[in-house]
Amino acid sequence: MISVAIADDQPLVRSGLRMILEGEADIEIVGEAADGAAAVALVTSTLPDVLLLDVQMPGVDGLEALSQLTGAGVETRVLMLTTFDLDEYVYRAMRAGASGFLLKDMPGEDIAVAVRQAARGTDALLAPALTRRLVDRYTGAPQPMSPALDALTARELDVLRLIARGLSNAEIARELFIGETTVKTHVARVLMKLGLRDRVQAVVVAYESGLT
Amino acid sequence: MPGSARVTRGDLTIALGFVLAAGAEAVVLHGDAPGLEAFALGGAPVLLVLALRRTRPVATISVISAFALFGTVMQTLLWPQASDSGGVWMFALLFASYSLGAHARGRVIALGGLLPLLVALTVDLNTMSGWGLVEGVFFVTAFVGILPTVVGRLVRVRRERLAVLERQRAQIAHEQHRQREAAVLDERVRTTERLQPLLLDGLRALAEHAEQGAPPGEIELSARQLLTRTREEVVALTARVDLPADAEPPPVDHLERVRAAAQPWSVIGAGTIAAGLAVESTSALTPTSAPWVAVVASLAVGLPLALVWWRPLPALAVTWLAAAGFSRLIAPLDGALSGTALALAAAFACGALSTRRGAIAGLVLCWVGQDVGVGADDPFGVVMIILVAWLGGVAVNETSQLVEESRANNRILVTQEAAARRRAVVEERLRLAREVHDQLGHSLTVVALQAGAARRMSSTEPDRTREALLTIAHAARAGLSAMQGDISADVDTLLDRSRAAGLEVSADVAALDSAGSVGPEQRLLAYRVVQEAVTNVLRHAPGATASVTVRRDGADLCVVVANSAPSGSDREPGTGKGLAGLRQRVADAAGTLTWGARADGGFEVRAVLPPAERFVGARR
Repeated sequence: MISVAIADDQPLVRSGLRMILEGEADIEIVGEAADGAAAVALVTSTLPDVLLLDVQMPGVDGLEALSQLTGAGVETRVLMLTTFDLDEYVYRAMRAGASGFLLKDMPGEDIAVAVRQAARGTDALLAPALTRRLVDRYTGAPQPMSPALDALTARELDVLRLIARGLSNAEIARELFIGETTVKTHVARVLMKLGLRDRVQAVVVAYESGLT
Repeated sequence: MPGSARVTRGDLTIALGFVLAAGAEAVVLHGDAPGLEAFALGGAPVLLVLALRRTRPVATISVISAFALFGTVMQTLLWPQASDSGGVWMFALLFASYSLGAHARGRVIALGGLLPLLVALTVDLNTMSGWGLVEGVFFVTAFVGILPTVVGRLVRVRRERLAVLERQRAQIAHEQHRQREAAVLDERVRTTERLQPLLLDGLRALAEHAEQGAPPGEIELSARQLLTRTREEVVALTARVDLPADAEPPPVDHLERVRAAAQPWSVIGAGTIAAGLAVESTSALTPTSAPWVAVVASLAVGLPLALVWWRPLPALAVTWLAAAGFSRLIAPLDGALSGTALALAAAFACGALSTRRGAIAGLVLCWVGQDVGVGADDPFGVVMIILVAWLGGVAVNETSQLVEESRANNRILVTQEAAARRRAVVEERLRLAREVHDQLGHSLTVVALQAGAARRMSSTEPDRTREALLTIAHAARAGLSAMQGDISADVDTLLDRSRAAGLEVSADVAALDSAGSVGPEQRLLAYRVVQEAVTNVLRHAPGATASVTVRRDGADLCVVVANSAPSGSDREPGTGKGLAGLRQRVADAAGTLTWGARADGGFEVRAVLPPAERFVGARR
């Protein structure tokens, strides 16, 4: 059972998401919050697997709530909710540790799939095409290779490059002619060496350091 | 009297300073003749008249000249043995001449030469002081009268130019503001024209579908399609635009212009002085060498001085060296007319042609050159004369700088206008994008989300499905009325912005707010008419006042935008293209749009907009 919390200032959005996710047998809604502060309180008390967090909310907004949660070391995966995919806030949220983002009007099936993927962890990138478009739009001119990347081996750099292209572990394995388990190890290493929570942040780092 | 017709605190201080100096001079010079001392002390307060130098320049110089004459005559009659007097009075006369040049208008400026001439004649006739008649009169007339008047005139001309430039700047800024607002309004029209049919009609259709109980899956699909279109539009609107960078203003170097303008005058002045030196050293002064040597030496002084416009300080250094040599080897320059002219010209030139630091160095150079190099009987007097000439140069220099800066500012204003207008337009586009993003995006998201949920529950929970459909219809209607409610607020915004751009406009648009009786199509079209007409006034009728009236006439909405005759005639009339396009739209809605010139030279746009039956029916 995947436990999910929903934070959005619009009741109609919350109720819509609730209706959609309650229809899924393996998903359980543990609570709703109408602003960022309530979301932080809700997550720290119920520790859900996944938090759906609206970017723009009155008072403590999604970004602020997100940084409070990551700062507190909460394990909950955060999916940012947004009306528009090309939203600078979303980009900043991904840099700040969100696992991905959902368009509020995505088909219900896709929302459920996204929640499951986020709960599973680091295997795949959510909405790879949208993510790349977003990162593409907001990263400026590529920076020179960031020194942090020096810590990576050549193989790990290859893997990072492929993550940034939105490939899943299985696809990376095929691309590099190695086993999927090996890929998982590499991915875990990359994330650990760069101090990242998630594949999404790996994409951002790859773009910002001009690796792609 | 022109321009700065006010007694300033500074002028009052200067006048007081002159009074005190004249008093001190009386005590120092005539301490041995108590009667004369009292007489001179009594006359000193007359110099207070200098405080009026801006407001009454003619009276000022007349009063000072009259009292100088009177004093000289009285002194000759009553105290014939008394020593020479009136250095302070000479400076006061000089200052009054300058003020006459700077603040008086027309032929009366000739007084700046005539009155000192009169004074000089009297002084000379009465005292028969050291100089010969011709030299003394010439000296006073030229150096105390004419030259200061000319310098005052130079400063005044520049001040007037400055005032013109500043008026120009205000006009340019004003006109640019109007044109910028017109461009912004145009942009708003273009964007809303593109978005409104697509997005508003789409939202309305969604609401109607939900109200008619259409299958949630269908609603979900069309909501998502509409959101995709909205997103595309927002992305298009917010697409990064490379704004032209502001043109970097070229550095202002007023000295370059001043020096270029000074070139012929340097040559003429230096030539005159060299000629004067040659004549004086071969005749009036006691010559110590052959005439040809004196002529060559005069040229050696004049040549470097002729180059003062090119490199002021080095030219002056060489000039002073040559002058010192001349004074020591050929003939003493101190007291010679050409020698004085040289000192004055050098001091004025370094004040007028150098940077501030250079000017100060030049002043010291002139002092040293005269007092040490050439030598002086009355070192203090020479220092003062040089200082005065230098101050005149600095005044010309600084006003020139102000003029050049002002000119450069105007140029910058013009060259940066294209970028500023473009920026304003882009900002307006972003604002509209944000509006669409916030309002439509929100409504459509809720519709899509709720429809999606309803679709998934439709087989299992029909009650909740119905509820969701009601929610959808409500959200869509709310989004619709939010977008439309914006429009009447927008009329106010439009009028406010036009007013900020300097358009005097009166408005009676309360009829637009009666939401119950005015249909949204009607209101939208009325807004378009107001927008187009006001934009035209901004663009084509500078200086005109406008009135905007929206009245209900039965079910029709009657819109009249009129403006008075424009004050500027240089503006081209519009092509009427925008209005023609609008007439088509109004006609499509079964209304009429007419326009034409008014008897008073103004222009009027008139629209009659019937209600849109289609929409009234749909609203029940």
